[in-house]
Amino acid sequence: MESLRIESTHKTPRVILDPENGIFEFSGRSIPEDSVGFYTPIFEWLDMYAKQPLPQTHVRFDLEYFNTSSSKNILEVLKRLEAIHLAGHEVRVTWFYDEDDEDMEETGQDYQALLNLPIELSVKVQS
Amino acid sequence: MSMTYSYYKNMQLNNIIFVYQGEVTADLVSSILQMVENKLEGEGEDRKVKKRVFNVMVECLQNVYHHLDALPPTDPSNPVRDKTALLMIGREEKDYYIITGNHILNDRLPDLKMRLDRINKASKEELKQLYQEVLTGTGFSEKGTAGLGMIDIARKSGQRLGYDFHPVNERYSFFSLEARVSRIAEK
Amino acid sequence: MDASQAELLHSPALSYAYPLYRNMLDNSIVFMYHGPITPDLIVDVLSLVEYRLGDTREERRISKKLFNIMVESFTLGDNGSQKGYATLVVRQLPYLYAVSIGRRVRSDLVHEVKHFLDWVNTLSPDQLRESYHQLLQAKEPGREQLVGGVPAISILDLARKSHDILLYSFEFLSDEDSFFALEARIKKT
Repeated sequence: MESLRIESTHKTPRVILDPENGIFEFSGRSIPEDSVGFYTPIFEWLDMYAKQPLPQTHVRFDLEYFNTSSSKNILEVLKRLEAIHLAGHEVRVTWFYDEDDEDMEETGQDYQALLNLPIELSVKVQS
Repeated sequence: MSMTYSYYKNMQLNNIIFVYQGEVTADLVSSILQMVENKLEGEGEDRKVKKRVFNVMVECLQNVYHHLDALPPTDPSNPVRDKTALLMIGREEKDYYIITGNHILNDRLPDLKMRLDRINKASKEELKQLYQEVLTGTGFSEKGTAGLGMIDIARKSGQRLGYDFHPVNERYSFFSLEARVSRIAEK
Repeated sequence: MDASQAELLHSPALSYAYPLYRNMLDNSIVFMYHGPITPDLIVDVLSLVEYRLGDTREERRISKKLFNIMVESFTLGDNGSQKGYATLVVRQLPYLYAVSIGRRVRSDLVHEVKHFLDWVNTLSPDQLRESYHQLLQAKEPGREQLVGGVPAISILDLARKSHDILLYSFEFLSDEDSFFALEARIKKT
């Protein structure tokens, strides 16, 4: 299975889904005009990965900001990870937020509450 | 809150794209320029037109900066204590227009008006000549490159400058300057 | 060319400049935009606002909030590009920031939008969170519950992030169209 790499733009996040080492990353901004169009290939990739996941998958979310249409799509990403986790494979999610960004912290808490998936909130301290 | 509709109506009526009111700093100018550039890019405006709008805007903002710089720093009769200005960009069928507004001391008004009228009366060739005169220090300008700026705006715009003085109090007026840029690309 | 001819070359906006300036100053308006509201525009407005804010911890917190609110506001301004443009107004007061979006809305939907906003404004933070969660899980992405053409979840999101009631106003234009303005505020603490 090939890795999926999408470079960031000022409207869309950088996405790295690497099936070699099981390290996934979503970072940057997510305010695409067409959020479904942006996330669909990611869903398809994850559906494939779910068939033969690595014993350990670590997913980093390091998002600067995103809109609610993206938040729905991120929930869909997390639901797929939840399914992998519930099927007995280890999935660790780390949700990064700036110490000044209480909304991003709250969004992480939303996902913790909505999913049966270990999501660790991690504060990034400003230098 | 209920004002939003009147802004909407007025902006639509006057073909205004955006208006900024506040301090004019270098960082701010660069982010405004970036916004305009992206906006024009997004609208698929002709490259030459885009460049001209951009150049005229840079010069207009520079001009505002000079005017603000000339204001006395802490004057109680200054209607706005901060050195704030207005910047407005609009798009009509044939032209873009850039309007800047800032306070000036009333005693500078006659001189400013004289210059603007002289610039507006000048032909393309005369403008060029005037530009060179000011550049070499023989023409009108007692304050830095302020005089040069307006000639430059007129040259780059290729059209007459619009202006308006609005009396504010016994010492200050609000000076609005309009530069237009044709949306029809030259051959 | 005489003076009266020169006059014709000016846009009507030139004589509007001073009243507009005064009005913006009196209402603490920093920025106004009229046109299609796109993610690109939001990104640019954000950088403009960022320069106006300082670099203290509190200002960074505020600017983050403002970003999050503006990012959402473009969803509200997106009118399917059918019925003209939207207006974005950013105000900066000593004690708060406010972002408002104005757009046209079908007159027959005004009641529904108003009703929904009034309901949202009665919700406690916990209730807001609960309703937000429900909507987040409700449907597949791309098929959202709309209130007057606006995703309901966007309105809930704004209410959550602003920690304040949402202000709104409607202006009746015709049997078909009304104008709808929504303002989210962020208090400085």
